[in-house]
Amino acid sequence: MDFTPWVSAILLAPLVGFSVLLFGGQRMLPRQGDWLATGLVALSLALSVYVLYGLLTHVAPHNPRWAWIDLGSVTGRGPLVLPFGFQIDPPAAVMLCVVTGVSLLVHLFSIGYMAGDPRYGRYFAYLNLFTFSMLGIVLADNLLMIYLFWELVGLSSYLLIGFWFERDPPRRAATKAFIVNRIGDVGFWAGILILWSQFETLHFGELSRMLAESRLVDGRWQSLLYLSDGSTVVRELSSGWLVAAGILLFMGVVGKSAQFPLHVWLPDAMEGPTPVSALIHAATMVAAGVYLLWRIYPLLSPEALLVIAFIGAFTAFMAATIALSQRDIKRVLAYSTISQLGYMVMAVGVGSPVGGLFHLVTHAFFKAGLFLGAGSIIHALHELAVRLERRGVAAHIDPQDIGLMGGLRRSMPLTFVAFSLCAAALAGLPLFSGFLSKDAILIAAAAFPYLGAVQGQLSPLWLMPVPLLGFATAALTALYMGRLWFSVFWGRFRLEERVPEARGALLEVHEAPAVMSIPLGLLGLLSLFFWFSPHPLEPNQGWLWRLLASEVPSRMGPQGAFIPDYVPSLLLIRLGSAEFHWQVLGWSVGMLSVGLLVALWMYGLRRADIGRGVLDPRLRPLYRFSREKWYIDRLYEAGPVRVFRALMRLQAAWDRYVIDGAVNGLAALIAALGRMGQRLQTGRVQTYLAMAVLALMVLILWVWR
Amino acid sequence: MAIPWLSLLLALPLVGSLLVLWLPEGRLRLIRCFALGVMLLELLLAAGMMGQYDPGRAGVNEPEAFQFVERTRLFTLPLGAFGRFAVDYYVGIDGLSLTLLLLTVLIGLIGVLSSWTIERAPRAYFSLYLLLIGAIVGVFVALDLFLFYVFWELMLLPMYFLIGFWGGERREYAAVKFFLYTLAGSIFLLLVLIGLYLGTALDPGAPPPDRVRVLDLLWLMRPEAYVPGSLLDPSSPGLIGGHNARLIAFAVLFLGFAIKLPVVPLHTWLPDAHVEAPTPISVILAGVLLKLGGYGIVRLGYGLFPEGGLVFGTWIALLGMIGVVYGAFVAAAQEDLKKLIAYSSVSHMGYVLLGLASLTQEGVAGALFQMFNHGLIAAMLFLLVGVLYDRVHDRLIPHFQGLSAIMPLYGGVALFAFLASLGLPGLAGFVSEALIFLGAFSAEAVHPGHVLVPRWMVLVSTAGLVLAAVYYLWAVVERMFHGPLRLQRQEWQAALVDLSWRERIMFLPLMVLILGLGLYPQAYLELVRSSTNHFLEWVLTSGKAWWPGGIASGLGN
Repeated sequence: MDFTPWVSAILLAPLVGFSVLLFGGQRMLPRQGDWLATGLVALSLALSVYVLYGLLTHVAPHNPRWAWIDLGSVTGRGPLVLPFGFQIDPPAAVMLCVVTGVSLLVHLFSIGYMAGDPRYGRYFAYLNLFTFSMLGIVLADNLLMIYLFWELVGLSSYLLIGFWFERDPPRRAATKAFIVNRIGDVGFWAGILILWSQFETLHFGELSRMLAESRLVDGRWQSLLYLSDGSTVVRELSSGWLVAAGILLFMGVVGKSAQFPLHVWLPDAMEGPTPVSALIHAATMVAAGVYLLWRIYPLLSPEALLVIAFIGAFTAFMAATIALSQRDIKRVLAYSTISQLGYMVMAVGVGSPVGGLFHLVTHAFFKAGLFLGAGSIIHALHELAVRLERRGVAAHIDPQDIGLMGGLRRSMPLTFVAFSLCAAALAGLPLFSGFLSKDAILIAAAAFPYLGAVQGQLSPLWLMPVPLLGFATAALTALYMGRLWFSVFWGRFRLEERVPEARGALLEVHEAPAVMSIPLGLLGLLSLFFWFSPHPLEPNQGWLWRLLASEVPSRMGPQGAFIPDYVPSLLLIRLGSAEFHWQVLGWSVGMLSVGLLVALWMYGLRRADIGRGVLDPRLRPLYRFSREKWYIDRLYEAGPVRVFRALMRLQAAWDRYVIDGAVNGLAALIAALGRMGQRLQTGRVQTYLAMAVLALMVLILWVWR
Repeated sequence: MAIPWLSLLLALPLVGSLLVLWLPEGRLRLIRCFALGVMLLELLLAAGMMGQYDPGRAGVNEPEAFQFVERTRLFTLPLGAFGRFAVDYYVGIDGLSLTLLLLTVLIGLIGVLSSWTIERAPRAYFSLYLLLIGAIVGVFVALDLFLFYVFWELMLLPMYFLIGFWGGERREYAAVKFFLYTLAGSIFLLLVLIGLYLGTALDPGAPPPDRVRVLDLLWLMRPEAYVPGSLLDPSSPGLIGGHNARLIAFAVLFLGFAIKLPVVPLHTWLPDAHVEAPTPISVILAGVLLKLGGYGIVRLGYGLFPEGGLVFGTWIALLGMIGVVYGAFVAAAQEDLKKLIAYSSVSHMGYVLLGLASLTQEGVAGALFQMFNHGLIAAMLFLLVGVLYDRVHDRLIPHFQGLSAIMPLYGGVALFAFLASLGLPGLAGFVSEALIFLGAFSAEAVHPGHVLVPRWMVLVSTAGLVLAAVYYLWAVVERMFHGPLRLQRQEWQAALVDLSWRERIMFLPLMVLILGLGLYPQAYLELVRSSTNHFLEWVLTSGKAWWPGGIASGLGN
């Protein structure tokens, strides 16, 4: 059975919504067309589920392709075709369901959250544009197409971060997001260039096949191209380009998935509407990088994987430490997203793309739930602030400041329950989905140093930081989620303490309308383990793990190069043993408990002040380091940004004064010579004639010499 | 009988240019509508011609494969010892010229719409305007080099007056600068034409007693066109100062056309001309005139002296890379929106050189496509500046903030144009830039042993992609369109009304084309690919054959 029409419909439905809403629909349709946007995403979801069901039961994966660009062929080259195609396989189908599912819930939530916004219809148009672009990434069967949609999600992210562009922070955040992403994308693009020049194809399947057929000889990387006339050509690059290709492609991931050092845009992106943060900047778009890594996994050299593992582990740890001290509820969640994305990236780097993609799926639900929960809280506090202001309470209340929250579990019980479920999943508590996927990643990370050593390249000691950072992050995650949870839902409502006139305001805080709370509740439920695996502690018993494990693209590096698959069988058996698994599990639960206990002690029992944070003054410098986000933004401001501005001004001045100055100088010189030449104009015909003859002689001599 | 499409396309604006002078000066509306009518008819003609164009025929160097060819001898001039000089009215098009011709007609029409605000001496204005369009059409269709040169020069005069009379405050400086630069370019062109004439053998078609020489572009692409041993004879080129004369001729031609493209450091006339020119003239300048430089390099430079492309490839690519990066940096620092866009043109035309230098399928097709796309996109950008300037006579970026709030449609159209220009996928600019990058980076692999475009130059050029985002989104959109509304003068707010219907009609066809070609680029590539592929084969084979050093051993196709 051919799913091409269904898949096309899944992709195009949100595009139709976008076009209709943008070109008049938002003015002409009732309710500015929110129902149309939401309905079309619901249609996509229904079809996605159908496609997934089909692929799981009776339909073989397939790959319809059409020529998008066809340049024909010349002697010795071509035909050069850049096709457009759909990779219809189970991992793509899973992603389709995740994207359309979360997108639908966010659309529903937005109906309540964005009600009354002057550009309500435009907002839904943008959400549809995003959904379309994200589905394009999921379905892409080649690098050019994935790059195309990759930039389009960047555009919709730009439009939605800057949705309230009249205000200063969103307009800055939007520009920053786009430019930082472009920096990553340029690396991605350079990686594509390398692969194209070596293989003249960008199709994932063909690339991995041709890579496996290529050879590494004496530091040269050779591949064979078959021409249309049956002859062959050898393409050759120095082998360093193979490593570079992997690392450059990964740069795209670093940008989009907010990995160090390009993570700085994501926290600022929280200036967009909160449902947008849930959909784009937590659940789907930022995770696209991990999906890309899944698709290009066979193309990554061991060196590239090493870089990926370290960047991922470091990002996970760094972001978790920053999340410890943020006061803005969305920023805490943003850093936690960066940290979790670091986990997923690390998973691919340590050789477990299955773990990475598995975590992507579970994370999409619980993190979307956390953001929608935060949205629900912000919505409620915003209404409260408006009410207080109307009553004449002059205090400026920031509805996102967790320093003003507390005790909200009583007035927002449903939000409390759903948020708690999602938070437990994020912290990685057993019985929750997050435990399964994080456990899978930590097992792979724990095995990584030994496996790396088997390749005979590095001693385990060098690779140890990866699992160590991974485990430390587990503890930190529990700590910052505990801090958030206790300070938002437990204790006293601190707003009442800060603003004396607001006494009794907690009673005025209300749960959001059903259109918001139901999606939230559903996401809470999806954070439980049984959707993904029947065994609460074993991910590999579940359908999702099995499906992904059977579909993982195999690594068959060039002949004479890196060990084809990362895992030599003997070691795999030992490391895959139950004993090793339980050891890792013990460690991970241990770390988690430490984090939770500290959180309980500090924020649950001691009620530490969120603003100052630490109790022991000796920890202050560390605290400030975390609070200032490791000073990375400031470093960029002081370094690259300043250098760029200086270069820009320098070149503009050079252009104006040196290049154009030379032109004008030359003109002035000629004018001066002209004035001198006037003296030759004696008015005597003989002089003119003599000069003319002289000139003619010179010319003739020059031509006929 | 076949319809003489090209003669009609050429004659219509020229005749219109004369007829418009007969209209009464006071009837502003009539004059505008007349010009509009002429250009609409021109567009219809072009569409009719398109319907009969066969994209399968390559052209390039094969006279019989050119389409809509017309040839008549205009006159023969006895030059004594230098033979008899014949000039033909010889026109025809192939894939290299077709799309640029269409671009000229379309941008010419939109330029008339944008000229609605011109009120000073309208008869003279539209007469010169139509003359300019006719001359540009002439350059794209001419196959006789003398004819080419005449149209090339003919273009210069109306442009000079249009800038110098209808321009801004420093219009005279800008006009003279434009004139001198372009004149310098023409002199280079003339030098090569003289050299070609002197080295040319007899016209093959003429019977022996009628000893005439003709500057037939396609005939000059064959080695037998040259007198053996003459200065530009491909089989044994003469020397000038110890250097291969044909390579020097290539370099001289390149220099001449590089001024027009423009290539850094010969570009400084462009920002001045743009800033001072009235909006429609900026649109023509960026949309069409710059492409003449690229077209000249392709048709005359690479066409007549293909070995030059092989020898100088690296230098051409280097100039392209410098243009891309330098233009973008300078653009980011501009405060005048029009200047910023002018420098962005410098940056975007750099890609054309990069693609062309690579001599790969992707690179050459991409370069041609980039010229077409830049024509559409730059036209949009300058029209956008015009919209603002018409309303408040100011276009300094720091004088505006938060425009999207009071002019939402304008903000949307502007964002569309900026995104198109920075190469957002889904819009046409992405495809051409992507093809250029793919081709330029593959050049080393495709031509093993002979470096045309070193990989590092391509990698450096990718910085242009980031910089374009910086100068549009950071320097323009964030500061001018977003943020709280803040204008230099209070009264501007009333003047800044959203797009009128005339302006919407101006933008619509450009947006449709940019989006359409972004989604389905094959519609364009189908028109040019047989020609670009054939051009490539021809440059590589004859370039290798005519290269006296015989370095060609390692040069694959």
